[in-house]
Amino acid sequence: MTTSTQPSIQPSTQERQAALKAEIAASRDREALIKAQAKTHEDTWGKGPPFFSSASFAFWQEVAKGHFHIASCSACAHKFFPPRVICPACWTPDTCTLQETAGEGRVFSFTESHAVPTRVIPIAPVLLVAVDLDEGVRVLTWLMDTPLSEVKMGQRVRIAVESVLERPTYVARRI
Amino acid sequence: MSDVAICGSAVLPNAIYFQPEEDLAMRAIVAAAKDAGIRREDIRGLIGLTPRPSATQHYMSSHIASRLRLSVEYIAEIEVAPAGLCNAIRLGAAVIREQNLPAIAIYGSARESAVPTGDYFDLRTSRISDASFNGPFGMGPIAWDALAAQELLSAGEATERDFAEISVRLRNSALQNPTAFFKKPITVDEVLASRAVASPIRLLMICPRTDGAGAIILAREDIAQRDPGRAIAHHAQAIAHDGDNVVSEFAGRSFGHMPATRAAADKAWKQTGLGPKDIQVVEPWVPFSPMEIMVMRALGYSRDYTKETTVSPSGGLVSRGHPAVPTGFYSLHEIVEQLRGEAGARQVKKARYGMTASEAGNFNTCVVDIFARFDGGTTAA
Repeated sequence: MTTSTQPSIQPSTQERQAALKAEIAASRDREALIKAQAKTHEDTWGKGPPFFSSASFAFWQEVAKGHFHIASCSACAHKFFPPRVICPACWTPDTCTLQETAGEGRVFSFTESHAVPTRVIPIAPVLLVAVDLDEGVRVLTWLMDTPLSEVKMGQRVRIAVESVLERPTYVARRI
Repeated sequence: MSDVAICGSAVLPNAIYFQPEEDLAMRAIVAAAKDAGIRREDIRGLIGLTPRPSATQHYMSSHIASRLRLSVEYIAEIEVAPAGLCNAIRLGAAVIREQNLPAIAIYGSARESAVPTGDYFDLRTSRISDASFNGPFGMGPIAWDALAAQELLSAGEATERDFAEISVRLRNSALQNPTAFFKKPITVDEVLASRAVASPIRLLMICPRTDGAGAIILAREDIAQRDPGRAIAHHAQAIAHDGDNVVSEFAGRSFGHMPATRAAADKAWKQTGLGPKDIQVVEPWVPFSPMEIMVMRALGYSRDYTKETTVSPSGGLVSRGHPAVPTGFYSLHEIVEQLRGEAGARQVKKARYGMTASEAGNFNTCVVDIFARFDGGTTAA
């Protein structure tokens, strides 16, 4: 058995205890803020969907005001969608920030679907599209006012917030 | 040869049942024990797949142990997704080895009919990929397979007629399977004329939501040796997750190319030294006909895969039925019957190896299991 001569990168017991104490305090502060966010989310969206999460809170507040965004990490600048609590690229927590987007991209695939949630039945069938935005992220949404026979793979579209079934919703339209 | 083997297997017919999940499960367990020819006293472990929230009885494994008067040394429940039965078999085999138990029972049951279709879409399928960003738009398993199927069509890799022919083949197989839900033949024209559900997927390309239950008896080598021609060895298992979601994080990612399935299959081939053509019978988790093309491709088969192996002789989920929690038992039961040479009119000749491919998401998780005859032989020509 060989003994490593490299210094340990693991924290000491004292360092661990200090970090735990700091995390408990930070968690308490964070939860107080998130509790307030959850209340605001419910005031805006009811019980959901969209369901509350701290990562997507700001996104849905902006949708309610009519604005669509993608997300990016303030630590490593990775762009992603939907918003997440931990950056999928660098694993830093709570770095998700909203980034403005033209919302333009291409239809990667599509389906005209009759199999929809109950709330959506009044507008079924819906044209469900996977849109690859120019920023390199994918968004799943509806392509509006387009008969199935006219939609094409690679079709250029723009995503924006509209009122659908009396609720602000981000949807795609052909450009 | 193996030190642990499947010695008993049973499934109830796919149907609409009025009796509760626990009763269905107990019937399956007792039938599997009878099939194994094993005494109750030798069943020393019980592993259940956690029932749906709609089930009346919770803590079901504990309930069943009491009702069947099973005094066990190991008891557990495993969430059905991803691939609960596959995990249960692996866990069960490890427990038998560690504790030197003669046998354990693994079971699952479901009454899909207890959940109305509207609730099914609102409360279950809408929450599988992303409950806020995908589900509310109608993204569920049918829709994501439709997006994948559209990719196949647009790339010229398949036609709607190809999808319909899969439905017809699966239905013809189901007609030979007494536990299958559908009992009448269909034609390609009928499939193509059936109602559009999520283009290009039509009603007769979709699995029926059925009720059912299944159980297996996993046993120690000395038990398996009592009847080695009927015992089935769990030859290999390979699991992969692609680190992605049904709706990918990345632009350009295909819905139909299933990297986790490729990774799991490659791992299984490396582990065993086998290749796709060494497997005589495959039961893939395919709830919609177009998906069969994608799964078989990802497992390493050619586009003419039906010439290379026998696919879903049970009728598959599309024609056999899909009672979501115990569906894996039905696929495994078909492999067991085939490798024993007990599949009747569905029997594949010279069967030695069988394979299941299970999944969660859009095959974001894939589990490939290879099974073999315990005696190392093959069924009759």
